[in-house]
Amino acid sequence: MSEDGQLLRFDEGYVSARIFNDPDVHRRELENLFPQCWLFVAHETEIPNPGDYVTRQMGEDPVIVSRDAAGKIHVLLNVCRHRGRKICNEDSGCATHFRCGYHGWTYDSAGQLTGVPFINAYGTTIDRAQLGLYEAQADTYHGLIFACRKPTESLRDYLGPMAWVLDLLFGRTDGVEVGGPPIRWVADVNWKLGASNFVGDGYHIFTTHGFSTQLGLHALKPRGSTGAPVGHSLALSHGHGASLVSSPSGTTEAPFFGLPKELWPELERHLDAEQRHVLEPLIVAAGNVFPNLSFLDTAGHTPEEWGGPPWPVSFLTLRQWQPKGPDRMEALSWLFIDKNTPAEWRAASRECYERVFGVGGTFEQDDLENWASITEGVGGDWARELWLQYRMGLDLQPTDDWRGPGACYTASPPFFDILERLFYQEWQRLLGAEHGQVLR
Amino acid sequence: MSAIWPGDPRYAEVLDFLYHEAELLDSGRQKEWLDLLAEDVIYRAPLPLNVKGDAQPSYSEDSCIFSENIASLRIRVDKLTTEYAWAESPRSRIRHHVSNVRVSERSGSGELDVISNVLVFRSRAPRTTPDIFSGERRDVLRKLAGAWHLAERLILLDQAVMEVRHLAILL
Repeated sequence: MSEDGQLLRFDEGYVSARIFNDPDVHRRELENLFPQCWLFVAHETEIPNPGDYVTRQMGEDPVIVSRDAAGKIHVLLNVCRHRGRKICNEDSGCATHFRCGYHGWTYDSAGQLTGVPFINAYGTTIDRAQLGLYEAQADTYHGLIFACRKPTESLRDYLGPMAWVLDLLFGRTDGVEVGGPPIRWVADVNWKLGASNFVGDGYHIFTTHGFSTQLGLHALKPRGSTGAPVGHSLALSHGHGASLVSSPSGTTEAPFFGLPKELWPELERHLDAEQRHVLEPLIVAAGNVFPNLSFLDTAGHTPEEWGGPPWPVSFLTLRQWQPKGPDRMEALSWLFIDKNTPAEWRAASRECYERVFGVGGTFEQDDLENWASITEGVGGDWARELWLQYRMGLDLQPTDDWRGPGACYTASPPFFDILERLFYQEWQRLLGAEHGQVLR
Repeated sequence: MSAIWPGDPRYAEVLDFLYHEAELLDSGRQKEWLDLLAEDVIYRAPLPLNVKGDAQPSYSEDSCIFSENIASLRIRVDKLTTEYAWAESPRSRIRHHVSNVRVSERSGSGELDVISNVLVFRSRAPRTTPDIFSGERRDVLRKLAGAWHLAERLILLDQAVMEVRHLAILL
């Protein structure tokens, strides 16, 4: 950190090490950043029926994502208006009401206060209509439920051109569904490290996941194609970013992420020609919806090397990095599957995902180890002086031959830090720390 | 399915198997542990869930923390021999505590159903907080070439949201 309290030197590509383990920064994230952002909370297929709910987090606030009796989705602060007890401690379920375990105040699945034991004892001092659970604004895109406490724009405007990328992954067929409840675990990691890694750190793969190459596994080798994969990195609005890695020849033996042929007619219906053109040779699509929702669709593993089938399989996953203090986060990992996927393909996709991702995943374990070691390493006093290096590709200009949304960057080798720089620029803007504002 | 009691020699063989594999896993001999697996081994840990309902703890019918077969287990073990095993560098100290062993015979097949409790302690320098994994194992043992082998292991973990960086070890 510089003497004037600056946390980011955007033009030079420097990020202060302080931001990854600092109580003041963390508090300002909770107060300024998370309330302004549209935050992912669940997918509609997790709560398909009236009364279904899951419990999640917005910033560090616990919320209930509930579908009421009429089918409308509500995102409710999971804290009783009476004395502040959390009213629901299950991960998920189906309920007509939530009853606080302390004094019995009861709310329906839309968050309305419906029951107060011995209500006469309050005389005229209580108005149930005014004491519903706090509710955030909620909206969906391709079934992805987002919520915002203090929206200044619609979800669609917030997503901006990122919606085009989400179309390729979550809106390409008649719909996707969750492959089950998310794997969750809590690690001694600052949440930004996950988000920043997914938004645009292709550089880490060869060291962090180097075991794969050393064991001779064919990661990122497109079928029926030779040469290095081609990367296109998309700088989108609001700090969102995505990297699309495709086969160098523009085709693979397993087009459209190896999705089963039964689904191809759905791609015709749901994507335009340009989107299909981009999707066809893709091997990997990774990115981050600001602030903390990362995604990955990858055909980068060869299933038979992992004991899977001899045909191509990919998997689509969402991962969310939820803050739990300046040096701690909860990771959530969901698998997604296109609805009309045949059972055999489904099973193979799930196995591939579960072998490499999640708390036990052979790839993800090394990411978490790195991020935890950073969080620990910068937690002292001396390390706070460090300006960390996000300086690759400072002079890189967007390419002209990109017809999709956003500014597209490509380079050989395909490493540059522009998407991470833009992530931190937006982070700083929302934190309110621009113009050298001093942190105390 | 009929119970096998401690007086039955097979009960002692099962204990010997469980203690032997624990020793291999705790002393960095994972490659030797692989030799105890049947070629069609199923090694799974379904995701524990916190939901309302029966007295029985719930597990996901879909999501798994581990969903392994012989090929993917070999990758896990071989990974430890590379210079890129960051989650196990330095290597953990691991201790498997195996108890409450119940054995029964599967009708007809000669295979044994073995239920046991397992508590795995894992510590890594320089962290002072150890990882502790507790669960129930539901194993199927099969005799191959005169020796018991693990044909199936289902691990019912006791914690839905674990406070760990990763589960980079075998349970």
